[in-house]
Amino acid sequence: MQQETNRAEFVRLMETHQKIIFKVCNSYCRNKDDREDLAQEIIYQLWKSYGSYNESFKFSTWMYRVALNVAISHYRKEMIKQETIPLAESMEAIKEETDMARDSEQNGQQLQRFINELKELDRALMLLYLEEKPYREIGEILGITETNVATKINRIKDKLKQRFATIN
Amino acid sequence: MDIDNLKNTWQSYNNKSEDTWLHDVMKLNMDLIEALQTQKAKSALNKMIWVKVLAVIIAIPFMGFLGYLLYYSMEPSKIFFIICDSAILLLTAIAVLVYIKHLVWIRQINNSKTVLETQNKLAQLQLSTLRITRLLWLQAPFYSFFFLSPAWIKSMSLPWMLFQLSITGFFTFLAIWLYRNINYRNAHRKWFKLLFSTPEWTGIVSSMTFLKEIEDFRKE
Repeated sequence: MQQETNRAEFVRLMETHQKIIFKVCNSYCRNKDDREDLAQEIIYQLWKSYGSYNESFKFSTWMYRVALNVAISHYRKEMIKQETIPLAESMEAIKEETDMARDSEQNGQQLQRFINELKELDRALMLLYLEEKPYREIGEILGITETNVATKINRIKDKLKQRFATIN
Repeated sequence: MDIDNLKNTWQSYNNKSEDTWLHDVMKLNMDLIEALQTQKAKSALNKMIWVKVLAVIIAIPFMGFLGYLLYYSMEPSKIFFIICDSAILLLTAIAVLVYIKHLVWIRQINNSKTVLETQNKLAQLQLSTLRITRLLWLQAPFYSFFFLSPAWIKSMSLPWMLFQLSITGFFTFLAIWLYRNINYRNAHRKWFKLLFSTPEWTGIVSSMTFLKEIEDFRKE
């Protein structure tokens, strides 16, 4: 009975926070099948760890920890199986797309692409930053200090600025 | 794109993005997700666990055999055998202990810990497998002279002596060189790629670079 109540509560929480799963999967997977696969794995791992959820943390903090850990491990496994698209090629693709249209959606796509090109840990950091998480919470999710979070975000933003300058 | 407006661009892009694929996943029954993932986890993790369990299962009787031979070889004429047998026994025992430690680590991996802590543990686990391989290479020279005895050395002809010395010298050099050079700083070198190019090693090798990234990420 307790198990059933827990499960119902868990499903409700997943529905409330499904955007977290959506954004994490989009940032660590290239295609739809892979994203579905990762989303299932994240939900399963969240369910497995749900019993040990420590309520001193916000639910979303805990959820990000599990989701990012599962996504990074999944991504690293997949990277070994398949070759990555060389950076020069993807830059070319971005340039072509940019030439065709320059609207806000295009900017969003470019941003998503850039995020997807970052290293696994930088990608997690930027995802949390763009989700407007406070630096303290980002530090708690990743396991680094607030100052470190701020320094790294500024460095990545500088890199992004340079990238955008090269395609505009 | 306005770099100071990244958060707005991101939010508006994600709000407009097509997320029907996630609805399909969310519609799946929890029992089904659990069944699918348990099956998947079993096959992936089992492979890793079984390789280590199998190595321990094979190594323990081998160690017993080496110990038995050592016990019945305690005499001055078998000094070379005693040295080689003891060294191989010691290195195998270290490997077995480390593999048992790995099995404990696998059980302890917890995705609720911080990203750096969990990823560091996972990468360390993979890297430790490489360290053990490096250590096991140190056994190589001991297989090249365990059969010698002081009496045999005295009666050895010069060419045979030179041959024996060059073989043992070669394996000693190779073992020490590999022990010192199998690390992430050399992961890009040709000889390294040649030695560790199979898929099961690729993951282990990439964990070396990843550990370096984790280390750098921790630094301010």
